[in-house]
Amino acid sequence: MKNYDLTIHESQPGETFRRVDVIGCLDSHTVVGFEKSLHGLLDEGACRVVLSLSDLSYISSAGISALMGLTHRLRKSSGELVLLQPTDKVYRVFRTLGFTNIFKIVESEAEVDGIFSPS
Amino acid sequence: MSRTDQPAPCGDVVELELRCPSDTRMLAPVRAMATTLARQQGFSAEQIDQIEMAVDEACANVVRHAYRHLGISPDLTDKEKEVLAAERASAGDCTIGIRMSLGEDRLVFQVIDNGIGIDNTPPGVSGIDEFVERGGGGGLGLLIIRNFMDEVRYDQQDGQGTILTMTKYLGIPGESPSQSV
Repeated sequence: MKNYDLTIHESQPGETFRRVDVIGCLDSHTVVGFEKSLHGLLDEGACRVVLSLSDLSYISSAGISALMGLTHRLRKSSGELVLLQPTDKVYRVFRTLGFTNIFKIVESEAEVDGIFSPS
Repeated sequence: MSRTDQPAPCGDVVELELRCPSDTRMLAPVRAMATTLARQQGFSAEQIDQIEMAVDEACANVVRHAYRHLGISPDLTDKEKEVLAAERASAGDCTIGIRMSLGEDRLVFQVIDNGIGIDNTPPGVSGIDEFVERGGGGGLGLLIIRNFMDEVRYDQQDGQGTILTMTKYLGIPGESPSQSV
């Protein structure tokens, strides 16, 4: 697995969110680029963001802090950050530290659609 | 990264010591070393995650805080950090020392710097609520270290930095041994 990579997908027809794949490790070294990319995306106007974490092998407090900052910023503008399919290891860290009730974490694409589908 | 193996005089404790530049690029190899040792010691998958994270946070705190007075901070560009870190490391004054002791029932990590000292670094958050309320920021690392390791001790070296000693014991109830080696 690569140490770090990030892919920002264009919205597909009918999608109301932007999807971002995060690959590798999110630590004090890689978080700088991650935050720059994600805040850039928010600056462009994205307010519904899905982070796919199925290939995220490690997250440190720096990564969690970045996710918290993004969540905070998006919720202030009535947006949402959704964490899709975190690896078991990353989910264990969230659970142990008490973040499973703070972040919006989902296990399937269908749940994402449910959150963002127009009501 | 330099490495010196120092077998203990008696047969049941092994000590290893690493010294590397105070640079976030060193975090991944240090984590790999910590998790390899923890796995070999028979810690559970969850305990290995906790050890990995605590060691990472301890080293990241050194990079972030210990040498700010020397001009190296995470806010510099990669190139600036690279040049400064190389200069400081070659001068031996901006490094992270990691001493690992493998006992029969425990794994002890010491993270050693010769920076400004723990008294001059920001305190950690008191809990997750504080962290969430302020929308992230720093301070979570210290909380992780305290919560994930069984014993944590800071020793300020008189004007010469800090030694953080973290111990994890095997055989904590409710944990199952790791299957993968």
